[in-house]
Amino acid sequence: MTSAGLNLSVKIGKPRLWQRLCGVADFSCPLSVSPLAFRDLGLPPMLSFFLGRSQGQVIGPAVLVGDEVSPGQALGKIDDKSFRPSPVAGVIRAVRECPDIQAGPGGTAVLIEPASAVTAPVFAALDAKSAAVEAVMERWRVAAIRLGNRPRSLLVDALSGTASLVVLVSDQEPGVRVAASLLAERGDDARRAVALLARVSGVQKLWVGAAATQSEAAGRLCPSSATGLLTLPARYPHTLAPMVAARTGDAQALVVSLETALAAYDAVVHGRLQEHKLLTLVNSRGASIENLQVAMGTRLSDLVAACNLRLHSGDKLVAGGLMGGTSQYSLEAAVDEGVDALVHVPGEEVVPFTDEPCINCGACIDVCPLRLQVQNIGRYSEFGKFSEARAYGLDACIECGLCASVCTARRPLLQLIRMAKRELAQQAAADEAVREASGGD
Amino acid sequence: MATEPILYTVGVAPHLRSRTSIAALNWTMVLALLPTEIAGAVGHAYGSASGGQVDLGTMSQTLTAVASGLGVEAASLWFLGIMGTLTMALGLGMLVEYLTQVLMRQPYRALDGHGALMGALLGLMMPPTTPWWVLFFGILLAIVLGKQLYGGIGGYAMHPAVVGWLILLLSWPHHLYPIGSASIAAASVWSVGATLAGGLFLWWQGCIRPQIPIAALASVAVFSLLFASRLNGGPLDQILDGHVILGAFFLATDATSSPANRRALWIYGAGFGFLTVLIRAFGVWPDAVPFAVLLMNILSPLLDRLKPRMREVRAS
Ligand code: SF4
Ligand code: SF4
Repeated sequence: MTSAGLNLSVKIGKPRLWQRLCGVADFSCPLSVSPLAFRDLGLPPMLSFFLGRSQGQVIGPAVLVGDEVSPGQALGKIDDKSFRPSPVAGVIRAVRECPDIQAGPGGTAVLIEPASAVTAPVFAALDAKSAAVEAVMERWRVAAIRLGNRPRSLLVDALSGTASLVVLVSDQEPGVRVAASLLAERGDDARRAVALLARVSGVQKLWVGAAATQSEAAGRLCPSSATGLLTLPARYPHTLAPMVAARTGDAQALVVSLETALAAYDAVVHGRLQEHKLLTLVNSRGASIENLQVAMGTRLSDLVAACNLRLHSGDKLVAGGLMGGTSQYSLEAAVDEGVDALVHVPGEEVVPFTDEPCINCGACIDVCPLRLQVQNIGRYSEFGKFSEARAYGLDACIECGLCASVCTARRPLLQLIRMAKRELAQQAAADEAVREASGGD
Repeated sequence: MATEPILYTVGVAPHLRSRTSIAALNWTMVLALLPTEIAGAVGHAYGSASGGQVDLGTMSQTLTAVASGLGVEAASLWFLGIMGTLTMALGLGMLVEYLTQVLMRQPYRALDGHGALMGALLGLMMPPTTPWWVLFFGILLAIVLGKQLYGGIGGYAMHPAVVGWLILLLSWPHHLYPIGSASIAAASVWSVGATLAGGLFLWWQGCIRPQIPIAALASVAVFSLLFASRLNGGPLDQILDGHVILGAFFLATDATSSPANRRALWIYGAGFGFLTVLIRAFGVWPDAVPFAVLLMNILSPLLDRLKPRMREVRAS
């Protein structure tokens, strides 16, 4: 059990003595749930909003350089539909190519010089207990409440067609302490947010997912019997969204973070847009340094300066957690809903992947939470035999990345797994298209 | 203000990574063999094991002869000669590996220590009276035939050093099993103890998976009780005799030629012990360990079909 206040350094590949004696190459990766205060970084001189895509279509800019925008005004559009409401008032300074913080190059961002912090609500307040379901849903759509998943999707889109919903009040990645701190700070709001989601989301079953170490605080969030408490081991990767979903018995269950649930609640009750993102500054070994509250759209350059990070060539800057985050090549990228953590890995601590052959040591199998035959998945995927990889459990993989963390040959196993999944999905889509075309004749 | 642009390292997730590597694994194993080498050399040089029969055909003896001209005590020279031979075996393993990689246009991996480990193991499995060209030939066969022809590390099905050893045994049995001399690793109970210490060190370092040695030693003990009538000595004698400890900790645990799944490892280790005792009880060769390793290597892909049951994630 992790007690509050203990440091949470992560030991990868360093099993405890008893584990070694029993031949369990498991490793300890506890998640701390002790709250940490958020330091407000204030408004930076420039904010950047990445337009990206919506359901495959590229979102184009809806504003011109020099325009004044007011909070809630759409920054992007596809045809006549508007996207990406600006959470601030300010002047558009640039519309240009910018890297996406989760996927690298390839999109347009709108750069705004913010005038001042938003104080007044943008929308009319609704009553959480009595507002009509349609009104709430519409509010979530116009306020563009987005999930931090990959790729980001709108809460309303994700909700339609899910039977189970989990509000996750613990953090997913080592060192991140956003949800745990939020639960301590806004416990009452969290309870109301869960109640609101239970009322309007239309799912059959709502869960509150919490690490075992915080089940008491989490228990208070689910007063009604319709809401179940999902107790999770306080260890990575048991709080990872796909793992949590699997635990509900419905692998398609939608997992939303506490921060998203609270943003949805604020949009309804306080008429606010999500102006802030909370994130944890984590060190390269997975220990949290500090919690930050940053304006949505803050560029990494401003964030790095505010955190006093000294970056050098060869260092790695990771947005979004050590296990699943994206390493950045430019500080132009800006914080969005998915960035729960910022990690600076000094160059000398970077361990590069190699193309060495697998030596069949079995470390990956021992560490895999699902006991998949990772060594074979990796081998087959490497040589393009994706359907063979499936026979060894490819589809069950939750992409926690532990296998690649411990691999003796330093193989990019997670990358190989993702490639195989992607290729198979594309193949399936192509087959489907052929079938439809021939069926239509 | 003109500053150099900062170029960041970009890489795929995960970013929290263990620092282990193939090279770290192999060199740790080479290091863990050092106690065996010293104890074996001491055993042969100062003990009763061989010392006497000098025919100057061996590397160790040549070195001894060269150095004795400088007037050093004979036993110390004999010790240095054996250590020199083992070091040469290690270097030769790397050299042969490097050369084959040049010829095969493979990326150079000789520094990853695998060739060195194979050379060192092969050297240890021979008596100090073996002519140097036999050792050289063995290493050549081990690396070329046992390893590189299968594509190198990760590709071979059978332990290269054992393959090399077996070909030598079939070709020059009198050099590998001369009357009255044991191999360096089996010089005395001290060298076997040193091997055990090295093996435990590997276990502690996480370089080998403990299932294999545990199952192997247990099954040697059990089966030697079962076949007691055909063996001389009790279970402990069987374990301490010959290459059993070396086999259980250093040969059978080789990652590439052993199974990857835990359940398979238990069976693999137990099978190794069983075959060792069986061959000792009914076979003609004095040491059964290399045969047992090789047979289990061949079975290992089959054993790996014993996949662990996929762990279910259940609702709490
Ligand atoms: S990423 Fe690796 S360790 Fe994690 S579930 Fe998939 S195969 Fe297993
Ligand atoms: S950890 Fe790496 S080298 Fe070891 S079996 Fe798995 S993929 Fe192969």
